[in-house]
Amino acid sequence: MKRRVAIVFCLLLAASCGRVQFAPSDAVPEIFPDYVGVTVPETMTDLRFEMADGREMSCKSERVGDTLFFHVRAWEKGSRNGVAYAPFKVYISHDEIPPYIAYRLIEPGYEGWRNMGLYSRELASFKEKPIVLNSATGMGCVNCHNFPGGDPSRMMFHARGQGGGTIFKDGSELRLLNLTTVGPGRQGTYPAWHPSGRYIAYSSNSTQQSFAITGSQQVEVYDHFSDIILLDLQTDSVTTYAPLFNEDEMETFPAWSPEGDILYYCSAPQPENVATSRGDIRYALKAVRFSDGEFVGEPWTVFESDSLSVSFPRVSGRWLLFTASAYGTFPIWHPEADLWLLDMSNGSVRCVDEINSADTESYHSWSADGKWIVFSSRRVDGRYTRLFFSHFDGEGHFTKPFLLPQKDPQQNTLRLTSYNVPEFVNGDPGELTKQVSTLFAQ
Amino acid sequence: MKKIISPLIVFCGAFLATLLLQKNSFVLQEYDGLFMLSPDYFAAMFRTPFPISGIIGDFLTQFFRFGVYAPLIVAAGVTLAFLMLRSILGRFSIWSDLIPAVLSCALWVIIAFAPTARRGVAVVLILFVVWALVQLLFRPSGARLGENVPDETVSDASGAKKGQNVSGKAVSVALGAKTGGNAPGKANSANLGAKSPQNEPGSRWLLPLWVNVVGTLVLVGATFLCLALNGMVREREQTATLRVAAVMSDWDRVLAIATPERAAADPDMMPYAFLALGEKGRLGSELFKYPVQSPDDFDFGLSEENEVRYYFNSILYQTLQCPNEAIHSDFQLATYEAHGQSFLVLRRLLSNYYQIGNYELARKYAAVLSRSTLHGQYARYFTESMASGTPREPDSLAFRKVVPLITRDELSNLIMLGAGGINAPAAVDRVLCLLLLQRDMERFQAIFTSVRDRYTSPQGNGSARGTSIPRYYEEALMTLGLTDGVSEQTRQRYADFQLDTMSLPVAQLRKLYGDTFWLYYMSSPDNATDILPELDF
Repeated sequence: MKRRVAIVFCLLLAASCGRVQFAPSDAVPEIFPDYVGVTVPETMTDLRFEMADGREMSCKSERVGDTLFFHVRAWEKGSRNGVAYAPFKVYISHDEIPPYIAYRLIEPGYEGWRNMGLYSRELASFKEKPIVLNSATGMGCVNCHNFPGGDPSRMMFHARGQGGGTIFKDGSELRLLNLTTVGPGRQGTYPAWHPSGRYIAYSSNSTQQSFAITGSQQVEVYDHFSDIILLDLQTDSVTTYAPLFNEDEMETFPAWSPEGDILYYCSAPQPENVATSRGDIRYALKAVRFSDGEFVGEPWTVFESDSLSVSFPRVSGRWLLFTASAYGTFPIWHPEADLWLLDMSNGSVRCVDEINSADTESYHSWSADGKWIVFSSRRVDGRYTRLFFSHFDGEGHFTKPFLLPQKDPQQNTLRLTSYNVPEFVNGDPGELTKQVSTLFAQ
Repeated sequence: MKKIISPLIVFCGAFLATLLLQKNSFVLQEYDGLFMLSPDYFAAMFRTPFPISGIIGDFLTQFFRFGVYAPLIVAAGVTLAFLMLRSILGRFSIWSDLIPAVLSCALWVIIAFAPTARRGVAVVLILFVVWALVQLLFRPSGARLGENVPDETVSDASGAKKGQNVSGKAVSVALGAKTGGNAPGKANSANLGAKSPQNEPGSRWLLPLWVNVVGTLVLVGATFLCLALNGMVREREQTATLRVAAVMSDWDRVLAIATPERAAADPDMMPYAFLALGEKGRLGSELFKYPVQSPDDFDFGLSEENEVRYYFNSILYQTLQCPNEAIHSDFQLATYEAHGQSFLVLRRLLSNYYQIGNYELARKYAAVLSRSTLHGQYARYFTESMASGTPREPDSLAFRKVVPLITRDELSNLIMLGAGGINAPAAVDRVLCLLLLQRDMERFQAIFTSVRDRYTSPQGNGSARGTSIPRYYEEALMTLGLTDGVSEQTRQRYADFQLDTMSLPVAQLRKLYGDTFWLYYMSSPDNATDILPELDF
């Protein structure tokens, strides 16, 4: 036994005597996720990555001022030698990012699902917690979560299925309201919480999912019809406004201005047969005034294009960020979908090339101070939506986006669910699964 | 040596029974199972009750895909339970193989009927905990931990080293080997000496070796017979064999299982049979040999919204060269799985995305599968193939805007596929047969006329299936009054049929013409179970 140990020791000693050589390279490493040259907030500097080609690597980082330098060495496959890459920089912004984001995790499949849940993630760590799992709602769909101004103590989401409705959290109180039992009897879909906290504008959509028999875009989703309704949380009443609730147009994706005096939304003429004419449906960005709990005046068109269809308008100050696809109302399945920025001070619009990719960009959300955005993109593999962050300088420019860091970068590949509807939250929204379960049991 | 006879009987019985009676049922468990070294898998598992048994069960289930492993694992589990039970009872001086045999056979039955390995693993784990506690807390004669044990007693009863204390022995004791001193063989020989178990305080009863062996044999045999004769086990295995054969594209095996006779008892077999017949080029000749009552029997397209439908559709559309719909079905199938995903679905997604040239997603599924225990080589095969292949470019916007959308109606989908230039050899037969089942003679005639060469020309169009018109197409043509190319035999039979419908009672007609299109055509579509009401003169 002793002899064997001695032999192993000698072998190890001999092996350690050979020098490992790293050839210096002027190039920065190709890593996944691509954090080269990104700008991150102070709380998100723990960036973990691997070599894009799967080689073993080691990494050291040092901070000089507001810049992080990452020194990466990678071993050649099957060799003791490797490459020492030029250090790459990561810039640190002092603009604070909200401490949490909330999102839904769902299989990016088709009609059905099994496990689904709304989750929160602390951005300063890797802690992810379920807010509510659909096990609490009889495996029904939970979706369209929203926090007024990112306030974690107030929240709403839809819980579909038998006994379902819209669930509102106010502090520790939870209540369920079935919107179909009030007002025009229409279900709410996409919400927009008024800055006052009293109203929520919903689009009410009749949505159809279809599947291409061949070709690379396998799924198409469209609305047969849609309108906008307004819920008053003080009276639990739902009201409608004729220009936003009519048979001639499909209105969807409501979004309030920060002051709450204007509701932005997307609208397209109602076609006779949506399925067959889906390729020609383009939504324009419209707006209508809101005052004293009522919509007033005629809506006006903010932006329209004969080659773009607008969805998810989100306003921060003078800037309005929206998703634009070639047609239709469900950009997540459209690889051409990109984020566009509208400067409402002069009406100029541009495609935000610095954050877009060749694949889908879709849902997005501003931080309350307008310094950060989080958006969903399918650029990693074309199917499983992942979250990216970018810093905004307030002058119309975004920094190179970075993927939501994971404790193990492999998690970006191994996770078999998509991130939906990312929203910034100013604190821990807590866990509601048990409460929701009790609510459903009642 | 004698002490291993009973466990050996248990092992062999469980192994053979699983191998002979349930092999494919366990393969199907692997299809539905999932195990992967990923944070999400473990997080999800730890949200379920009894996560450890779930994780161990999932780990073991991976091996079920390969024929002999499931029987080995089941047999090992049952035998382990037997040994632990014998050891536990031995601690209380109950010297017998019969009680462990009864209980381990009960576990075997639990495993045999359970939909996953989880329950069986849970039982074995609980037994293990009990066994460990008993080893720690009790000594063979029933003394509590810490009590002084005479060295001789320990040595004789358990074979442990002299001077070793009870707790130390408990930790070091090996299953069966050291508790084997309590086993019948030992007990039998111990009759001769003063240190035999029956002489120890607390001994309950003792049976001769042959009683234990024969008793165990009887119990194992009885369990074997129960499983062999149990209708549920047989039905489940039959369905599993059919499903596994279909996934493996083993169409001969599918047809060997899904015979017309069996399909009469289980109509869910018919879609598989028709799929296999289509792939073998025999659909037009054998469709009505099956007890088909309506177009609903042809597939699971319209009438079902469940796992059975998506499992079948995934295979169907893959064979019809329509990977988009196969992928759709795979994703839907996954929603019925306990983990929301399964090995079968992941394998199919990998292969389908590879087939359509979407390497980004294929690589993802290869990476995911490689995080399981047994898919390394499988994933590597695709990864290496992709390294030398060329991914497909995404379609143009103009194409995407107008691409036909899939429907829930297979016929519409097949016609759309045909219009799109995707013509799997079996697709034409499926279209024609669906039209026959729908009694849509006008469209049958139109489509058959356009594809007639496939059946009548020796050269055909490259996908010709033969040089004569399949039997049921001939019968349909006769119904349409078209005799060109129809065999003399069919013409004569049709003439007979026409005469017989005027004179014979329904029962006789069914007997004579039950396997013809004519009888199906003339029966009421609204009353499929009571055919031919209008012919009941």
